[in-house]
Amino acid sequence: MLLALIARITTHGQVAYVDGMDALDPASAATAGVDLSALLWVKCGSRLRTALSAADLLARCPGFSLIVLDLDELGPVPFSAQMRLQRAVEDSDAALVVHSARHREGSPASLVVATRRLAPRWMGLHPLIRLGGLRSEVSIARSRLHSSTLSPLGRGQGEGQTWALDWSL
Amino acid sequence: MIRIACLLATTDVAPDPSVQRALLRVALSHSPRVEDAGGGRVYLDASGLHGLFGDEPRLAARLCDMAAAAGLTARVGIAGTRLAALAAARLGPGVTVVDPDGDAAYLAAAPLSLLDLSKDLSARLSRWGLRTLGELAALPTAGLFERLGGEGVRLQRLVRGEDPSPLVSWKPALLFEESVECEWGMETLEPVVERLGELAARVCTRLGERGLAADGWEWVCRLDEGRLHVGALAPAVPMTDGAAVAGLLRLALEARPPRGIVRALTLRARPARITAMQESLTDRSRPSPRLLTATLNRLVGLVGADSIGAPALLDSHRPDAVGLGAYAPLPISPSPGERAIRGEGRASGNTGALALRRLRPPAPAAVTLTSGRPVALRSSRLSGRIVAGVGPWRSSGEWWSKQAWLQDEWDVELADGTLCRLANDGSAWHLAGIYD
Repeated sequence: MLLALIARITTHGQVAYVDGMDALDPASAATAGVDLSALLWVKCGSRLRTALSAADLLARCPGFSLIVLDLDELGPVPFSAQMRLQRAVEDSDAALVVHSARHREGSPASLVVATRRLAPRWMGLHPLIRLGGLRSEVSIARSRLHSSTLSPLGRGQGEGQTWALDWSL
Repeated sequence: MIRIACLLATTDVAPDPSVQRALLRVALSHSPRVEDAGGGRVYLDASGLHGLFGDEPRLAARLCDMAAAAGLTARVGIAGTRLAALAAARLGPGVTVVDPDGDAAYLAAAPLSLLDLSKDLSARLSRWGLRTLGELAALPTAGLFERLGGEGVRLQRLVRGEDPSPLVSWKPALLFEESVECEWGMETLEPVVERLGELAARVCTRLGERGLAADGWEWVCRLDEGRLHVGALAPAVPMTDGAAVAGLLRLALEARPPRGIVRALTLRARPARITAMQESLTDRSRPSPRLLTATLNRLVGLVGADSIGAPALLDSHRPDAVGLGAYAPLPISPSPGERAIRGEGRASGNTGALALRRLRPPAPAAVTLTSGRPVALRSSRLSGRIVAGVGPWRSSGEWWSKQAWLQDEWDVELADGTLCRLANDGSAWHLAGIYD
């Protein structure tokens, strides 16, 4: 879902990807439609403090449409750092998306989206031929946004709403 | 009337580039129009210089003296054409001035070797019995054209003292460099950065006067005991803003400060021409070059230069074959057609691609096999029973080099529903990535 969002943003803007655990697969990104030339990839080598500092620097550089902070398994993030990031992007045109493997309780994020794997899709029966894709469930865990700003997901949708999405390999 | 001076270095061996540069400097200090003929030979426009240097014999003597002061032994000839000036320099006593309109007469006795003829043409003229330029000049033009074509006519015009081609003006390469010496020495970084900022402002002013920017900066700090501290930086975009450059220099010096007392500083810019272009309202938004450059330099200091850039897919079938290129945001988005050519995106607007999250480096894994198929996985990141899987997808390549690789890959589903990719390089299993 993150790559789909980046793909959409790179059609008209620049995206900075702060990769906490160096997990980005550019081949998957290109397949998802991401314009790699509009993507700034910052690899942080599993260093949480470095990732937070890099995201903070990028959030204060006007011109990026989206800043992704991919923490994955890294953490916990100090609350002061969360507030600092929130303040940095509050008055800018950029959106900050933090990707984490675990739900961060009490984060100052305006929107918390949770994803859950439902079932993989295999091609063939006996034997299986190849992996076809994955079905996942997306839900809004918490939202402080006005309902009109949720237009990409559906106008007026709020907390507790879920969607099932299919991803193909 | 055009008057041309030939400055000729007299060396027994082929002159090296430093001799040529010295000749050019001497010539350029007398005339703004200088032609670099190479081979220790320089022509300069000697017209209208009498007000500055006196008559032509005095100008020629002065050129000789200046060349001698530069450590060169040179001969000088002044005439109405390049060929006559060359003949005067090469055949004369050292300083020779040919009378105006006397070029043809002066050249008449000169040997044919004065012309830069090809071996074939030289042999042909020799077979005709020609030895001097005057004999070539006396030949009938029509007959010469029939036998040698336009080249014959051109040569005859030259030896008759007619040279219609103008001097090909040579300009010295622009050097944007500023230096400062400090008698007392600078022990801390702050005054060094301050001085470098002043030098950057001066260089940027000079660049701006010529409509140029700099895409590379180099500095040299001369330390005690003759040691040097050298550094360089290449901003993401060419810059002319002295304050921005000073900021970048500060960051670079803070990351790698000079170890010792700084006695002198030199800052050099590599000029680049920027084509002025109006931004379009439909262009993709991007960060301002100045802020982006400063941010990128701070990020380089944070994560290292090899950990930041635009991802680039390498032309290889090796798994995870990616590199990092320079991040230079383009204002214009590639069209869907261009993106298809570049192999980006399976379809326009496709937002349903399954993503793989790579583990770098791949996590070592213990995999249990039954009938050659993985049935259980144990690793630091994931463990569990494998309920479904496909593979092996075998790939290999670069067997001709030291980077040869051979790998079997499996896509497997664990009992908890996690999808992951396993890799076996023939000796060990690894968890290569997790589908997200």
